[in-house]
Amino acid sequence: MSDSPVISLHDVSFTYRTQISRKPNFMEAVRNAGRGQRSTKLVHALKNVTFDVAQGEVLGIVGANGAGKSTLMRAIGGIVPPDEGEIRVRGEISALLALGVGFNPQLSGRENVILAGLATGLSREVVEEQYQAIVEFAEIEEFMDMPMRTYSSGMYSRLGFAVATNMNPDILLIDEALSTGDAHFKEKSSQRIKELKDSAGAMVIVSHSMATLKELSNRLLWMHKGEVIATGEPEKIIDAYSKFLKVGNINAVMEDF
Amino acid sequence: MRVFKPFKAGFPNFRIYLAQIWQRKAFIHELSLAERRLEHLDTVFGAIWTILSPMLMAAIYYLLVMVLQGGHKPPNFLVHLLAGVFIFNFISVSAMRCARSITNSGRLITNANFPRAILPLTQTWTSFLQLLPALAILLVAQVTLGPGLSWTLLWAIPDLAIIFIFAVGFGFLTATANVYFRDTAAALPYFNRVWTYASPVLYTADQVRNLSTHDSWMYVNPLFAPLEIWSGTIAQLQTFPLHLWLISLGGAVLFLMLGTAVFLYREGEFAVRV
Repeated sequence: MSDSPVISLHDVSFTYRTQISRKPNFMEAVRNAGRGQRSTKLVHALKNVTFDVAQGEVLGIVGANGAGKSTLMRAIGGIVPPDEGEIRVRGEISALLALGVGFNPQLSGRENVILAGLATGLSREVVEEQYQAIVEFAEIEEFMDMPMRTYSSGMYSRLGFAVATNMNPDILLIDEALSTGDAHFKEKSSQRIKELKDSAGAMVIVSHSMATLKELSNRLLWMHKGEVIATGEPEKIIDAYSKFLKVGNINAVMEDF
Repeated sequence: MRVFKPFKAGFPNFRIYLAQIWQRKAFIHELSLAERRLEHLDTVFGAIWTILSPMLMAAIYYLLVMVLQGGHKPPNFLVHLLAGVFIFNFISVSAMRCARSITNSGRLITNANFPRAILPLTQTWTSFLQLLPALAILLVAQVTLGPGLSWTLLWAIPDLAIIFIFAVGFGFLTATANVYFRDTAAALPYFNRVWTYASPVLYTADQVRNLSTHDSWMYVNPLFAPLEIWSGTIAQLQTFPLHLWLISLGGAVLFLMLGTAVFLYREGEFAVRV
């Protein structure tokens, strides 16, 4: 059982339509009916992506903007179902794709933490148990009974980070969420991620910081325009990717890869 | 082990989906309580508005009916009017809140994995919690102005359950519709207003029945039978034949099934549509 991968993607493709102008209103929808999808554009966000993440592994993902990194994370997190292929995930996922999105600014920090825990499907008792750890980690004890609209943006994302990483996830998906708050909290959160690296079943990190990726990940995956270009040793991939960023041509880089 | 595959014919696995919602029932209730508390936070009267607004609405409708119909009113008409207006207010508020439940949660939907149905469900439950104080007023009115307490009143409870089922189904429909046509939320108040006039709220079902011999068309409105039972039970202490209950339940279940099907069929797309 433990030999089988924790995350397994097989031939996953994802396509979506995006509106070129804006959301259609009723009249436009009536006008466009029967004329084909004129106001939409098809985006191939993922093309036949296949890879596994083993137990205890930290997979880093690099790629230029629009490579499909965020879509890939959303697919693994079950936020968007793939159009083709299959994604198998073993365990509870916690996704740090954007911090504190579910928080209601009118409610107090305390209420938001409880609600966030219940929203992931945890029982009240478990959430109450986690509460103290979350507050201590975020270091905003004295603000917990104030509405979150009074929080600074740093406090807001600190609490978001604390909630997401304290729900004992088996699998952690992190999208550029490492740079949170001030220098002190940044240090603390990257420390926390290193701890989770040992306790969590697996981790997938998207980042533009090569230093972070080199430090944390066992393996890197390089994506470009929805396709997996290469996967392997972090140093090797970073070299190839950095070269690509300078040259701007994948084929030229891959020749001597 | 969880498997994310292309939705089978557009639908997620229904059994797993239902289990995930059940697991989050505490969340739905807590969030509803919080939202109810927040709603009138910035007004002077605060939570009193949840009672005040349906009462003001009932007062306006009462004046309207007085002007239009003159003095001829069925017995206990005020209790009938309150009963109908409070329930209809619940359905329209729930439909409105549901319509915005998906479109207002864009960032949450694109960044977190959870059964999307909990968003409209929470809104229907919030609206239901807001109905409770109005029902307390209705009970007071029933005792002081109406026919008074009786065991027959207990029939109102299963009827309220039917109305709730309807509201859930209708909420799923408005939530999905508003993702594709943002005009839904704007058009909904007028739609609800017309629907009120087509339901036995400002008049009683018997008044319509006396107008013509062919009265079955009125059951095309799925809320007609449940409202007829609701205010008939409360204002007249009437009991109703089985077929009327079956029409009520059938309409509500039909809306629930239709709403659930439409919502689940489209849910996978919400993340790229909001």
